Amino acid sequence: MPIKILILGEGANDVGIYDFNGQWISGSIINLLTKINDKVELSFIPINKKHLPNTLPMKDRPSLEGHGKVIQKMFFYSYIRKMEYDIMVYYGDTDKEAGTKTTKTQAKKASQVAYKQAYDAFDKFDVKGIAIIPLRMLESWLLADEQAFLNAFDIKVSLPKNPEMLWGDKRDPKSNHPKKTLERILSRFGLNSDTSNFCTIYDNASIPILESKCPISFPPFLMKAQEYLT
Amino acid sequence: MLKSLEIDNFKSLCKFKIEFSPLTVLIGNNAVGKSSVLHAIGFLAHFAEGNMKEFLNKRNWSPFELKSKHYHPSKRNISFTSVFSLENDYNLRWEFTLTARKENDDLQCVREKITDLDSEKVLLSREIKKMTWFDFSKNQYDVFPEIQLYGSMLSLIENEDKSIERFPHLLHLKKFIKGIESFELLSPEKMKKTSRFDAADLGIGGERLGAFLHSLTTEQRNEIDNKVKELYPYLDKVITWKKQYGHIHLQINEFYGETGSYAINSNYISDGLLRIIAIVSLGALSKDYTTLLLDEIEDGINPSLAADLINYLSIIGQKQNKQILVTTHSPVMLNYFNKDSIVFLWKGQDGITQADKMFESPEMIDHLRFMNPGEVWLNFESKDIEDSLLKWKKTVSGGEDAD
Repeated sequence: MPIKILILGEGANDVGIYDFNGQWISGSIINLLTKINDKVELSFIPINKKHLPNTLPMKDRPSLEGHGKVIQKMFFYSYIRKMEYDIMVYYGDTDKEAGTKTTKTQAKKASQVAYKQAYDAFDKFDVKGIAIIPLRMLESWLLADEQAFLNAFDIKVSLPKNPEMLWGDKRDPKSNHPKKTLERILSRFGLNSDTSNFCTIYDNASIPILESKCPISFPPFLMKAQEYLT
Repeated sequence: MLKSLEIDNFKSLCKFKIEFSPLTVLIGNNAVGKSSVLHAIGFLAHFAEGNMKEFLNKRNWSPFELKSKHYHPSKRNISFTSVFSLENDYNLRWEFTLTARKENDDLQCVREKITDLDSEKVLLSREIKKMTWFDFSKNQYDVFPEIQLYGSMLSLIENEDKSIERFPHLLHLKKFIKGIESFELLSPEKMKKTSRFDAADLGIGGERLGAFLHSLTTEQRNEIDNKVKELYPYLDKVITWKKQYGHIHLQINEFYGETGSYAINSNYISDGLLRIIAIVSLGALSKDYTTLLLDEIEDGINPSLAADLINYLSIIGQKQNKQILVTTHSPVMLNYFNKDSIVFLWKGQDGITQADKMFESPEMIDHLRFMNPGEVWLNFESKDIEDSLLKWKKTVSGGEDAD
């Protein structure tokens, strides 16, 4: 029996999107999750962001924050539809909060806050949940494993030592912004920075390398993923 | 308080039953009959006083048009059954039937009965050509020929101390019903106009707001100012003064610290603020006002004030022993009502209004583990809520169809 995963992300590159015909086109996080344990079969139930329900926080009463608010909407979505699933997976970036944090200590703190928001929400609704919240964004983790690029595209690349800490001006093609860094590396070999190539990188990536190269934001995800995807 | 009401053939209310709490909020889609319930309760007060015409005239309604369109036109009887729990532990049932007469363009009462539910003693009854009531001072029934009335037999009972010995239950009931006051049409346009003379209340549409405020004591006025300040911190004072021919003029003073203070004439006060002043001033109504009816409480009010406003209404109800019935379309407002006070209304496939406490069925209560009442209302389809309530009704009635 496959493990049924209710999943929500931010866009095409991470979890995937629904196209104009209502067909789901999966993103690279699906490939990452599938790699965690190749002995289990996973079946995904993606949520269309447009259909997320509304929440009404109440004055003077504790409410969920940040990522927790989105997870609350995910839960409402499944609850209203009486959906059956084994695990809820939430993908979210921390670029807005963590982008300005320049030291490792600050970045680590921001990442801990983000994961806490998510796991507090899973606990509140008593669901098995996995949060995937890369520090900065998806591209940070994609810039971790040089061997993955060699295996995937037969190209030898030199990747940053601390991909999680990359940051810069998103509009400047020469900046250290994770998106721009990955774009430059791929374009040097005539490759596009797109969902398909991101999927291929994760297909060829090594989980231990991702864990060691992204020590701030990858382990909190991996720990829960290894616990639940068995 | 008014505990329940059964109505047949009044607007969209046919074989309709509803139960009330001290503070009740009616919710549901547009045109499901929420306002009709308020109208029906307001109608009770006018019927008891014998001035049904005033009730109809205020709304420009024709008596014959009050009948439901869901029945055959030949069905002319409109019936009401209401149950009250009053002071002195009086539990009474008041039933009456009216006939809508097209030829006379009026409503005629053809049957009326008031029963003490504890002893099952009939306290008052009216049938064709015969009226009866039980006189406690004589410990016997008085029977007399039918008198032509444009209202209830209660209108014959004098509001005086001597009546308390003869008709203790009926006098309590009459006073309670007389104290039902509808503010269902609160309109800033009406509040902006000057009003005249002393006023015991602000009027159905708020048209006497200025005069009502003017008639209050300084202490009451200060209380109103302070409460409005909590909701609108720039308010310094609500001011009224008498102009020529007894016209009362309304204005507010706003205070902006170092910038200064400004007087704002009623014509220029924001609609929302006027409604806030009107709602807050309900707290100054005398104890004779037993039941307050408010339609679309959220109208013009910022959602951030929802908690304070509902809390204030709740305090008025508890401290002053007033029953309050409101309608709302705002899930934000709904969040701050007690779950037991929420009544959901909907129209069945036949177009007839139905009502039930929204959080009575285990399934609906279960939703509150994760969601607050407003979220349940906002996110579940009306049909899902209806189905859940109907299923529950069927279960508690032993598997028979709810209707």
